[in-house]
Amino acid sequence: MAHAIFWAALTCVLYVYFGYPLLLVAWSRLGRRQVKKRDWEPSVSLLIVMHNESKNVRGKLSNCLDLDYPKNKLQIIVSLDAPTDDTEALAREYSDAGVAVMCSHVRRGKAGAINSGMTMARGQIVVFADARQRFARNAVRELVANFADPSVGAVSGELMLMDGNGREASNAVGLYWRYEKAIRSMESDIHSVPGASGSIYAIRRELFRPLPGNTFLDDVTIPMRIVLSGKRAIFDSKARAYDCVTETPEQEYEKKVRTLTGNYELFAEMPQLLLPWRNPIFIQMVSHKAGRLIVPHCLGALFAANLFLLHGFYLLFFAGQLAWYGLAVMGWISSAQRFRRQAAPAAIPLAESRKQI
Amino acid sequence: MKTTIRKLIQIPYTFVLMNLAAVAGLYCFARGHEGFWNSVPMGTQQPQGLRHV
Repeated sequence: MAHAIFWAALTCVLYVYFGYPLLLVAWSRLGRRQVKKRDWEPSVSLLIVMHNESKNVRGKLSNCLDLDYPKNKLQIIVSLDAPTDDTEALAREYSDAGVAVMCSHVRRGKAGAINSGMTMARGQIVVFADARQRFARNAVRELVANFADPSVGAVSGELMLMDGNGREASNAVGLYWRYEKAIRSMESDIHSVPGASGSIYAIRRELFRPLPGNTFLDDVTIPMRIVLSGKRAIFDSKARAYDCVTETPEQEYEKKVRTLTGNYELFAEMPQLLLPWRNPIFIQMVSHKAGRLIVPHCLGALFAANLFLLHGFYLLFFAGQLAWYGLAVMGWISSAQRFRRQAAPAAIPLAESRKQI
Repeated sequence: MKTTIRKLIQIPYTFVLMNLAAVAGLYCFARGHEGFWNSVPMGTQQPQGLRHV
């Protein structure tokens, strides 16, 4: 019994982190589907949802007004969800520049704010953005160029996590994000990504359906609805948004808990995602999204099963597991020490976001 | 050298933390969550409706 659990758990972990990426490498070489990208200028609505963002609102709106896209074809909408700071007043400073501000004084959550914002959207294409991240000047142009291909229904841009020196982050969180983006890129080459980057993605407005009020991951729910309707949701690394990398793994942990809670919710709300005859990217969804939810339980099972198998290869493997978790504890101690010594986090490298790519 | 070692041991730590996040996510999902957008419960602000500019 312990043998079966050990090997099943090990297979699952290895498949999710190594087997699936290797499968994607082979699959994307054999069955690559090119996107017929073309430079064109459809009308675009840029929707930014905010709650309490007084620190970011000016920077974000200035960034949006500076985008390389015809002003008469770009509608900027700020949908505020019951802010309790001065976000609303700051956003209204930009009304004269053409920014449409709508404010709900009833808390409805992000999904409700998106639904409200969409009632104002008039563009053929809707670009979604978060308050903190900054767009590259050509980001919208790059995103919409993909919609020249009629098979494309949604496009995710690339979120670049930068360190304090304005370079792409190379700490553990930065490396994890690069691994994640490499997987998304290959998934996109085959068919679609099972979710977009919430800070930069776009859809055809006609494909939007109002979100249920309890939707947590709009950046997965909206693209996946589009994929289920028969269109592609692709990833374009030329459309970039910039953010500052989280300084410590603990900060990334908090974000990850939210995302993974949302993934559980996603499967509960959209069980058809787990049906191979309904979901055209069933393998990607199970391997990428569901796999990440299953792996921690497999790691626990692997460790427990290994306790009953302390001989030969299994003993060596157990020593390896102890060493791995021992290093993790050392990393925890080191991170805690560094956190105590650390000064204020580095600013978002705005200058970097202004670069043309 | 010290910095390199510190960076290296962050990898298993981050890996473990990201996996713990999935367990914590399951716990949050099972309990139900409302406070992710912020800590104020939904629908508790004064109901003044929508305003457009």
